[in-house]
Amino acid sequence: MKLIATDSRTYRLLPLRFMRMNSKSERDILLTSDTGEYLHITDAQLQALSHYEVQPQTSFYKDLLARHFIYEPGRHDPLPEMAAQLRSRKDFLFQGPALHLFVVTLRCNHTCQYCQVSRAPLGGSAHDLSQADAWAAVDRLFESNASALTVEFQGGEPLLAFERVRQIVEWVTERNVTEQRDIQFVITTTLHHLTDDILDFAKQHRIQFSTSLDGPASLHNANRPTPSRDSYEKTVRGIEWVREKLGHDAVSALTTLTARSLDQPQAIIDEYVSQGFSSISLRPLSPYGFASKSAHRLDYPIERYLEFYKEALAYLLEINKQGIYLAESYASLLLKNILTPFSSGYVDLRSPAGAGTAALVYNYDGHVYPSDEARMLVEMGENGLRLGTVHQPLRELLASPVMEALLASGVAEALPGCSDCAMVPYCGADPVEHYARQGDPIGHRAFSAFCKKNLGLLKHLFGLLREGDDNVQRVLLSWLNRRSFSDVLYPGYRS
Amino acid sequence: MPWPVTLSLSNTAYPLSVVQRTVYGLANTVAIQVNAEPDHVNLVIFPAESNITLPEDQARALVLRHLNDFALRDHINRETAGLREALVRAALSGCEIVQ
Amino acid sequence: MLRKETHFEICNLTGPRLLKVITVNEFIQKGLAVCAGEASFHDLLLWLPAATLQDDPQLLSLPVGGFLVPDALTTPTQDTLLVLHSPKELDVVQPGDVVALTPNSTLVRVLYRRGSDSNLLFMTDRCNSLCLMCSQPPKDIDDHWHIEENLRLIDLMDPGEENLGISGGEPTLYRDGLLEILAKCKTVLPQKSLHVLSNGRLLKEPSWIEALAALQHPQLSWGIPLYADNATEHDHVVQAPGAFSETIQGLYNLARAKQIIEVRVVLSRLTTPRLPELAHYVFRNLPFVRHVALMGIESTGLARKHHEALWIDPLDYQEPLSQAVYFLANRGIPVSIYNLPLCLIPPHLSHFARQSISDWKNLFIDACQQCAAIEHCSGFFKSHTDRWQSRGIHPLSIEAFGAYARSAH
Repeated sequence: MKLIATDSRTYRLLPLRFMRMNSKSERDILLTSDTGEYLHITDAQLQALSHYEVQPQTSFYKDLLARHFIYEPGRHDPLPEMAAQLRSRKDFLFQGPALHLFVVTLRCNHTCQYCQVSRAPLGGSAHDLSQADAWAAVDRLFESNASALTVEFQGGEPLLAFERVRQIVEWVTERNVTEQRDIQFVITTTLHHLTDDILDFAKQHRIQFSTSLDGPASLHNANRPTPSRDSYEKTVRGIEWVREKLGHDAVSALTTLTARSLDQPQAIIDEYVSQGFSSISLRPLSPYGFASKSAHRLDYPIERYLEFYKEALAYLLEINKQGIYLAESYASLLLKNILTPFSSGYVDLRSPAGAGTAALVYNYDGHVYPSDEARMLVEMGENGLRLGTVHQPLRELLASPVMEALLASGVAEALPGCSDCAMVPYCGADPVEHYARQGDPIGHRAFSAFCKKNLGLLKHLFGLLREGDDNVQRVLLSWLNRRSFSDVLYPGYRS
Repeated sequence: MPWPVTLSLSNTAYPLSVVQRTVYGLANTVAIQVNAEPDHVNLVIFPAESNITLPEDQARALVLRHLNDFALRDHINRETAGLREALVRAALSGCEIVQ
Repeated sequence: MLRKETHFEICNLTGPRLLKVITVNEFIQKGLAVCAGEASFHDLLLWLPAATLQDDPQLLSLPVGGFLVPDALTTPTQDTLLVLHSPKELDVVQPGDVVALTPNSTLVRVLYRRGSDSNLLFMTDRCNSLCLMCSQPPKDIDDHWHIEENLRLIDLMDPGEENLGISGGEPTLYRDGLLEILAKCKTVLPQKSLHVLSNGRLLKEPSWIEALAALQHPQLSWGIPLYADNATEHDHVVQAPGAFSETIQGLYNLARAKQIIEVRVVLSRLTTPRLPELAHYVFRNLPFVRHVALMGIESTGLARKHHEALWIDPLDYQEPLSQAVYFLANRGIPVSIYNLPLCLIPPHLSHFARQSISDWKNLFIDACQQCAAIEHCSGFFKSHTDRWQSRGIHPLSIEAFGAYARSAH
């Protein structure tokens, strides 16, 4: 029992969070600061830290000071550099939505079991974006002050409404002569309806292509049936054709993982290697649209996805060590969040949530949604997340009650479960997913697949960063900075 | 110790907010009934679902560990009261540093 | 190593002078255009080898400010002409150089050396820190006169592309003079890239932000030392409480003013133990830094008094050095190692090493004469002594040097 006449503590605590990693290491506790800096410590160190018993001249003390877990009153004031780090981490807040998705049609030739949108018949334009709505959407796009804008065409199959795509690209390009933004066009497509005309136009406007490649032919075709049962073959031909005319990197690919996919991590990765991709995205199935209707057949517990992911990641690390560069895109952005003071900018992993603030969707029927997932909920009879119509100014759309509700439940640092979580600087909020899965945009963290997924991946990556050998570090760093494995000669200091 | 596991805690060491966070965080593993009394709080702990195979002694250890961790977080939050808000305010207004 | 001053016999020097040395050929071909800014014939010192003078004594009637004979003077000259002759060392003053003369002194200082990569504008001997390893111990005097001298010097330099340093002491102590000099460099020497060495402490004042942003110099960078990731250790190295906080604030203000910033670290027993942690601190808190310079210690000035606190054999800090270097390089921050002989740098770090000791400060010792790397190595400071010498100094064989060359890419 101490009578404290003068305060003999040499330091005070700064806001900090901790988590037990349940690893085999003695330094099992992860300490994180609001800046996103971290330190692995022991239980005894945590107790000493919290009760002002850490001795000043130790390197532990200096680490705590330098990484902003403690400060020395009356001496250096760390607020300026902490504020600089936090601002850098949240700098996406200082610009309007940068990702604008145009759903030009719902028509499609596939009948993918996990499809999140209804499929309209190939003929007829009842499910196409009208000219008037497209024109208004372009106005909305430029009302965002973002200096870099991505215009992404979605569907159905956007190439079935290519004339509308062409019009929108031309209108945006013309407007941009005065606007002077940095604009990137992307078409998300099966690549089954390419023509020379389309590719020439794409080349002229430097349009990028994004396609689905679920894995080797057997898997891809099983997941994505078409009447002619050759989705894989047509997709691969499409990839080759785009590369031939626009260059190797003009097309990227994503997987969607069904329960069937989870049995074949190596086969999927091998397919991406043989198709010469430098990036693979192993994202789990979302609970929207047809996917939710077929949930009993397609869905899987998130734990099963995490097992698959760890196996896939281990295989990817091996391949990369042999000199083949193939980065897993979600891991890459988590690494950016963990290892740097910058935000990855990814719309689905931000706090405040990216729905509406980072992305806007202009649906084929002229309605505006805050994210692609929100528009997919419409197909489940759930149009509650509609912001308004394309004919309303952006300011009005972003001030809608729907946006208010999303923002109120979209700040992870204020959500139950998240506010105490050590991973919150590296994670995000997803009110739309919680709304879809749990019926409530805040959601209950203990039952949240979003939380389990991100926590599982983050813990796994932290484990690799701490325990992995030098070659593992080199691969992860090569993904972080997009350099080849051989360019990262040594891992350097491991924090 | 067979189910349910009971705990009786001092509510100065474990204020209701700490108990609440523990109950919330473990909700997919255990269901906890909380009875608040004048100077202590009683917890009655059940498995959250019938297929949970957690032995009772581990459940008790799990709940206690979470309670202690949240109590520590509560202590840290009290020690750092107001600092997080000051940080966010400083960060999100007028730093003006361009990369 | 080429010194920056020497002695001449000087005739008829009536006041302090700043003069541009120019050959007869250059005088004919370029005239005053040999100078970057405003100059008159009166600012020129004509380079006249004794043989040339003997053949053409009428050259002495050219309307220049004076004559420099880099030999013994054999031809008589008029009483009124300023003539320098019989230099003590032959190579110190050369055509294109700008020299400073003071009455009643035979000392000729070279303030600007044509073709050198280490020309600098010296601002002041004053400093507001007192670093333990300070190679240029500060003097508490009023030496504002450097500003005028520098403004004049700028006019007389060659106009072309080269690196120009601005240092002291602490250049920001004369704020208005520094800003005036930077502005004049932009107008008169637009092709030269400027690098200001400053401890950054006074830059914590926000008024610097607007003043520097307004300059809009196309090639201006700042070299700011940071010695630790915590105030206690940094303040100890610079012997100034509060310096760490001030320097960090100064760094942020420089970033706000959109300046190009380099962080410098002098490697010593005090700074190498936490060098990797310092690299981490720089990356997290100062990610706008464009370059990090890790520098071998110069054993002169105050460093000699603090040998025990400062000296660590570079062989003993190779591990933290490597960790810090690769931490930064892997994250895209350019890093360089300065002032360390190549034989002390492990091959995997050699491609970060730069040949960096100013030509007027460096030398090689006996052990170096057989070394295959001598052309690529920075060598030693001229102040080098035995007790600052690593046990690892050895000449590299051709094979060993080949290993260095191969690891560079």
